[in-house]
Amino acid sequence: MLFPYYRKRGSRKPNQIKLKAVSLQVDTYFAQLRPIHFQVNKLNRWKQTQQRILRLNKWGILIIQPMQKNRSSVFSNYFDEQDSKLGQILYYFCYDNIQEIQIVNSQIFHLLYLNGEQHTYQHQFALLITEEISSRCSVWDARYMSLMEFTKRPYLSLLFTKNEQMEEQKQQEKGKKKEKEKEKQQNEKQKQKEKEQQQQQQQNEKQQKKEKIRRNQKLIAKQSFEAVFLRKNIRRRRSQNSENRQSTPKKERSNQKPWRSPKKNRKNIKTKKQQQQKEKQQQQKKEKQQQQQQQQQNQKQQKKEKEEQQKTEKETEKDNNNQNDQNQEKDQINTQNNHNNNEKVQEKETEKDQNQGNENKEETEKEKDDEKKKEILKLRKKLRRKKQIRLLRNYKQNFKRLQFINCTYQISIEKSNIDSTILRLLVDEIIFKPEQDILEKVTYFTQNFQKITSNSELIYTNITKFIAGLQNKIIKEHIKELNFLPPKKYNKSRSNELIIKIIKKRTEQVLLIPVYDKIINLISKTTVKEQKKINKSLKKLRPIITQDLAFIPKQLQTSTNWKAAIRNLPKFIEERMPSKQLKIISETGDMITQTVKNGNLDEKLLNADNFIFIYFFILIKSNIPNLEAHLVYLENLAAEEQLNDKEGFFFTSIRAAVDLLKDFANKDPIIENNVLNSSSNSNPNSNSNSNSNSNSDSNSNTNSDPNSNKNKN
Amino acid sequence: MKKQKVVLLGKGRVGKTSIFKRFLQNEFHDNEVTTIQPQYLEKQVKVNTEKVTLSIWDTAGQERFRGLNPLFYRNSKAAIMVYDITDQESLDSLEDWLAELKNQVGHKIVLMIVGNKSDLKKKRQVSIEDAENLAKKVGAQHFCVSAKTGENIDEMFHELAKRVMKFVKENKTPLNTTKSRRNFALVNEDVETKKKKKKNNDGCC
Repeated sequence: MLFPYYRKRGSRKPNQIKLKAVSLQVDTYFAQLRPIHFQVNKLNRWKQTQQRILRLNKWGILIIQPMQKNRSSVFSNYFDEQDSKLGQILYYFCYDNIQEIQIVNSQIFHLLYLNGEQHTYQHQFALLITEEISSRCSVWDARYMSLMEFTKRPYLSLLFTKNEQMEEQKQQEKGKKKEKEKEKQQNEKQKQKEKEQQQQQQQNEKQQKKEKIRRNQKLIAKQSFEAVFLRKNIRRRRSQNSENRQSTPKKERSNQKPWRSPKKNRKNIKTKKQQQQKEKQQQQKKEKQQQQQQQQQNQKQQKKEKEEQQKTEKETEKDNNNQNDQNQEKDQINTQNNHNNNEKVQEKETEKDQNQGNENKEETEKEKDDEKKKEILKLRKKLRRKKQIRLLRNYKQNFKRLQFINCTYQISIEKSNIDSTILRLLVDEIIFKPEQDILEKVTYFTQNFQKITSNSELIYTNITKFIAGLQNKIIKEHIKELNFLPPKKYNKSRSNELIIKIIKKRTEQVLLIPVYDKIINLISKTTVKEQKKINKSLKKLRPIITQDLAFIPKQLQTSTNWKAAIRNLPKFIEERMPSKQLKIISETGDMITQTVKNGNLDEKLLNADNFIFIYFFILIKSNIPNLEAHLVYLENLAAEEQLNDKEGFFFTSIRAAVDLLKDFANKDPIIENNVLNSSSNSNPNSNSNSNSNSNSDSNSNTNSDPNSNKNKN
Repeated sequence: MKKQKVVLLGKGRVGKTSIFKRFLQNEFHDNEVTTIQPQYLEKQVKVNTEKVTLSIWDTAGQERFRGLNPLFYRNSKAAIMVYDITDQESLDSLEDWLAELKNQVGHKIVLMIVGNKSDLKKKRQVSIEDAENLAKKVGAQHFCVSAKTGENIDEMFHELAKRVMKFVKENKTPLNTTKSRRNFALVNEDVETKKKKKKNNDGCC
């Protein structure tokens, strides 16, 4: 056997796939094979074994052992039931691994061994794989080669050879790499030079400082010497004068003038001081002028350098090889110029130092350093600002676009739903691009709303069609972009639901909000009669219900959060999006049912029957204007999914309560109130006063109620 | 799968809410309760490998609200019609309810006729044959159930979920919106399969 199977007894597990990879040396060319076995239990580990083979030898032979049937494989048609898994494996192999092999090694001789001689479609399969590989990998030419002659066994071999294009590409890549390396080296050299220059400058500065200190010491010594000399002279003369005084009489002394230093000396001292001051002033002026000149020169040099750099960058893109040399020359010239300039500046400075005071220079240097630091800080700030501006621009553009449509666009970031809000923002960025036709469609809708809703019977259908069309368009145009959104917390399916929800909401927002008033006006014209009925019944019922709430059980009256619900319900008119309106309605529903959830109220009291009455009461108390029109708006333009949801349940119960209200318009309220009371009392579960009766009734009639049994026990 | 709306119908005091609450109280495996309201329940039921979320709406049984009930039938995929086995009238009234339902929804709906209070066998007035005949006539499935003991409640809802799933798969409407969703899902599947492949390749020994 050339390829003995490596199989341990009992190692095969029912749901695992086994692969066997054998690497061979080609020099021996099938005559002397040295198989090295890698047993792999899972497809996950296939990649590593492959790499191992490639590390060991440049040539590889792959043997795959089929296990189970799997319908999903493309090649399953070419195989028997047993071999279908093999097809899948090869499918994986073709799609994922080939491209990686070509990067790792340039000369690979892959042989695929198909299991056993039973195989009937082997040749076809081999051809198919070769076609697949050649189509997938443009770099490689896959050729089918039968090894029946060599091995007398049904092997399938695939020979991979390099294309010329690939070689060219590789050469180009190598050239690019070399260029990059050269550039790096040049940069390093420049950095070294700069460092050397800095070191030299530092040394020079140190030397200059030392010289300054020496000079100062000399000057101080001179000044001290002169002072001592003058004092000695003064003492001598004083002593002489004292001797003369002793010798001369008083009259003569009175005629004599007191001793003063000679005029020449005095004049010399004054002139020296004045000269020193004048010299200092002149030096300062000169220094200032020189500094200004230096700054101007430096600025010019910097500008020139920048321009040169820009030019060089542009030129490097065109012709890298030629320009590198030129850049080198330029850099050399620049460096030379810089050197010269620096040398000149240094010479000048040394001359100045010799002529001028040392203190001023230190100050100027400090000022320069400060200026440089400030410039660096400014540049950093600018970079930060640019980044921030880029981020903000995207959001601002969206904001402007939406402002253009006159809709309120507010992003409320809740702590619990940060991921969903990020998703929302990303979806917005994708949808509302200025280049797309979506905004055009929206503007068309807003401008031609009267035409669209010209048929009073087809108002809702036209609007819903438009909304659905826009949603479809958005999804069709942006499927690829939306698919690659990052679902951080959620599964892919959950994130898809979220994305679809967001798209729906946004389309509602964009289309319905600007036209909301017009739609409501249209609807209110058609629902005038029904609104009148509601108003009539409200007028009738309001005084009765405020006095007496007998038709609602007393426990419900006290426990449910009436006031909060009455305050909250009218808010749904303020919102313009149907989804938000439904949300508010569900919130009110939650307020009513919250007492049951908390365990403050018995569940029996809040029946489906009572629930409509509670809404009935809240509607009468809340006094919502133009209620019918808003309900019709919601009924027709809210999303179907929402209407089938919890929000929809609360909405339908409100709708039922309104219908109940309408019935009261043509009836006597007092009688109806009595009827309501009787109906509520007839329900034993809802009557708080007749608990004992209710229990007995429930036991007799509705034994099936589990709660009643609990009470009984 | 999307949420499927189910409506509970029947005469007053038949035991609709008690069935509703029994289904809520039973904690059989693999089912998850998402939202609970006194008249509204969302529960996930597992059928073989797939999951269906049933949003069950309890309706008012009193006769004065009978005119309002059609509002609750809108877009419902299934209806559980409850009668009391100790009350013949409750079974007779089901036909009226059915007529109302079909006026509102049409013939495309999954129907279950459920006889409650099966624990009260001595007081039984409605024969099983009558109920089953009605079920056959209407194209519904019949179940005898006791909300008190919990007999057949889970089985009934499980069967309902099964039938709803089958019904939804058979009657997929080719609306514009659904088409787009399908496309979207298909693309996502492709992306997911690619990811799986990557994961398989990235694993270690």
